[in-house]
Amino acid sequence: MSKKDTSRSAPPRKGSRAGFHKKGRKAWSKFKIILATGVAAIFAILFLMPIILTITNSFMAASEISANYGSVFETTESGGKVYISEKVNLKFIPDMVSFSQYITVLFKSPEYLLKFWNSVILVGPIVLFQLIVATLASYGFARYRGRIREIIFFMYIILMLMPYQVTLVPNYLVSDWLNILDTNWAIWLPGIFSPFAVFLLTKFMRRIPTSVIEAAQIDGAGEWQIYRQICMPLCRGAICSAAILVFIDYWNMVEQPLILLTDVEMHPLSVFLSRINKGEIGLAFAVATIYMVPSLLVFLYGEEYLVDGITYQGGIKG
Amino acid sequence: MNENGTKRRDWVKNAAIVFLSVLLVLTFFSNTILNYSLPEVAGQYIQSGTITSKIRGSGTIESGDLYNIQINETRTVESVMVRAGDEVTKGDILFLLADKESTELTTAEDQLDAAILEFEMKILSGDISNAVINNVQRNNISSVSQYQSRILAAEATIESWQKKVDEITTKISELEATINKLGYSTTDASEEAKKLYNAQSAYDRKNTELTTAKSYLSSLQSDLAKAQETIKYYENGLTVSGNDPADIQYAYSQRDKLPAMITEAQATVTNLQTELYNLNVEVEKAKAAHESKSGNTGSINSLKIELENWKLELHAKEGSLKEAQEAKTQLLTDIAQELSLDAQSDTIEKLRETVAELRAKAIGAAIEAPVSGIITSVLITAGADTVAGTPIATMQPEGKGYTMSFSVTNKQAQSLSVGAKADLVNAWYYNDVEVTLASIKPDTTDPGQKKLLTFHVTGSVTTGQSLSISVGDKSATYDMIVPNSAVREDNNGKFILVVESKESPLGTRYTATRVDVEELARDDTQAAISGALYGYGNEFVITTSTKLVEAGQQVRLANK
Repeated sequence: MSKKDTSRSAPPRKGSRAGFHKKGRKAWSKFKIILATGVAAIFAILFLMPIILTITNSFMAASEISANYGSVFETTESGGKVYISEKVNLKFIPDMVSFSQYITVLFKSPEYLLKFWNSVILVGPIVLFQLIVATLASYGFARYRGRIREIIFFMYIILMLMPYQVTLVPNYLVSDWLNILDTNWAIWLPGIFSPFAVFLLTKFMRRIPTSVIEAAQIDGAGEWQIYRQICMPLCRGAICSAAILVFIDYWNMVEQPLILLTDVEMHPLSVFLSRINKGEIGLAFAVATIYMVPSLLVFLYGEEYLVDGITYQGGIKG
Repeated sequence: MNENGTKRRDWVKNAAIVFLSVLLVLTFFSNTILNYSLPEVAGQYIQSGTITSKIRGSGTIESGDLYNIQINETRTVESVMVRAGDEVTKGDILFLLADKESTELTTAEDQLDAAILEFEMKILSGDISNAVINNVQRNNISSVSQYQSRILAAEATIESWQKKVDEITTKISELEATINKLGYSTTDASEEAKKLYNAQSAYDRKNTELTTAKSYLSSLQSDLAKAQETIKYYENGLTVSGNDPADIQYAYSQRDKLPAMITEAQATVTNLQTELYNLNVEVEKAKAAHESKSGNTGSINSLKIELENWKLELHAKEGSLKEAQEAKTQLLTDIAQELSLDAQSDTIEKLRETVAELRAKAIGAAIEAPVSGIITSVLITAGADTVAGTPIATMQPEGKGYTMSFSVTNKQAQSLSVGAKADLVNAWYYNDVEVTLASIKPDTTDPGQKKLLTFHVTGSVTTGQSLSISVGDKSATYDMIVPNSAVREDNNGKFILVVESKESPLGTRYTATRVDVEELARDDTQAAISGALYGYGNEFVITTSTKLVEAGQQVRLANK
């Protein structure tokens, strides 16, 4: 006699006790889904509201901006008013769509464009060389075991956990000692040798089966060949996710250029945006919108890799 | 990786490429676009050099020595024959006047007629004695001292009569007392007593007349002596205090007429003395007759008779006293009237002289130009009346020259000196015009801060014309000289805008920077400055711009 097929259970009869339990579980599942969806929607709205506000307000004219937000920024030294309303009006729909802010930013204010390219100049090399350094370092950490490796890797983790403010003063002193203050090297060097990508890629490279590497060794491949032809293709997703995270992190950096670059002309757009004053609120919305585009594009391009990378880190096997 | 993911990555890749390309293009053209919106400036480097500080100013030509045309009468202008700007020669008719006497002459004649009428009416009123009238008409007015002496003489006469009256009154009182003591006895000698009284009264009256005549003779003699003394002093060249030429003239007239009057008075006195002697004889006769009639009636009768006589005497003396008082009153009245008439006569004489003078000076029917020249202004219109002494027109005499004035600061005036020649500005067509600094005086509108420069102008110019000149020729060397257009000024003082350049990845940026300066000197084209600058050759100063440039504003250089 064969074992009872338990792969598929017969549907419970109507009115039976098992039937009621199943219905209850279904309803509870639906309720949980609805609740979760609602909470998620609320949080989504809360997180999206500033972004939507920024984008919609970037299409408002300067006069409408002053009328809505003047009480926050527009006060004269003598206490006189230059705004219309004393309350801040959060408006999502402009009274009249205007591209004047974008025209001012793109055509009449080259300093904003200059700051954008400052950001690109600062972030691009950091992302590129950090990935190069991180892949090499993570290959080493993944391939070679030992006490020294554990100690060094532990130090990388400690450094990664430290906030930037802790290493700010040592970074400044070393930059001054190296005579690279007020130059882009003061930003590049600490960024290139950042431990985050090393940590991320080491975890991923450890998942590469040892048998693949041993097979390559048997075939006569050297370390460089193994690194370049086996590990790199297998780590493409991780590298992309690391690149995205590093890009987003350094695209929004403020403290490093603020401290290490005294020349305002070299500051990236993130620092410049932090200094928007009362007379440029409309410009701030427009610049912020333009500022979001690279991050958005990078994210959209590598979203799958990023999700896969997070999934791998979470240990969920597909 | 599914197909959808691949498609999306392609789309994102394309979007990123487009985004970056657009930004790259905009960045590439950003300077070009911006420079079209930036003000274009031109300038030059600060230089060193020399500045000749000239003072420039402009003024209106005015007549240097205006001649006022005026008359000293009030006449009605019938027609104005000239207008401002006309050139006239001496003798040309300027105004035609109405053919009638001037208001002043008419008024004077009316006043003269009124005074004469008043004088004549006063003379013919009957209240003034003929002697006074004769004296006034003959101009035989006594002096104040003479009036005083006559008044004193009258008062002396009154006093003497009063004294006699008092004596007689006393005597009568004594006699009445004696008679009352002794009693009365009657003897009818009334007729003789009456005759005696009449004779005595006649004698007393004649005696009074004689006394008066003697007094009058004495005053005439005194006047003559005084006149002779005055003449003696005058002829010997000695001054007599208190005497004026009129008194000298009066002394001479007195010397001429008094001898005859004295002679007449002496004859009167002699006649009166003779008559008095005859009356005295009559009195003696009457007295003798009375005494013979009454006999020795006793002392009472004689006392009574004596009393009656004294009463008669008293009555006579009181009459004389009253006459003397009336004479004094009349004397005072005559003196007042004489003086009043004399004053009126003098007034009439003066009015006659005034009328004669006005008639002699009367202007005919036209006012002629006293000198040759150009009429600068006509101040009266046809039909209006002239005002004596007020100009009715002004003219610039021929060959007298012009002036012009303008104000400068005290500091500017220090560099000038009287006699300096000035150059005309923008007046190349004035070939023969010469301008010379004539005076430097405080400007009345701002005496502490400004001076008024007055220039003498000769040449072919006209009154009212505006002229621009420059004067002064002191020069000095300065380290920093900029064009005048580079020096700007606001509430905080003078400043210049200097171009500062800054290298950036997208090219050289030029910014206008403000530098406060002090202007040391200035001429027509450039100014010497001092300030926080590196000096000549190092600073590029903005002189002109296509738009208003403010400090701190980015600019673009012309042709760069």
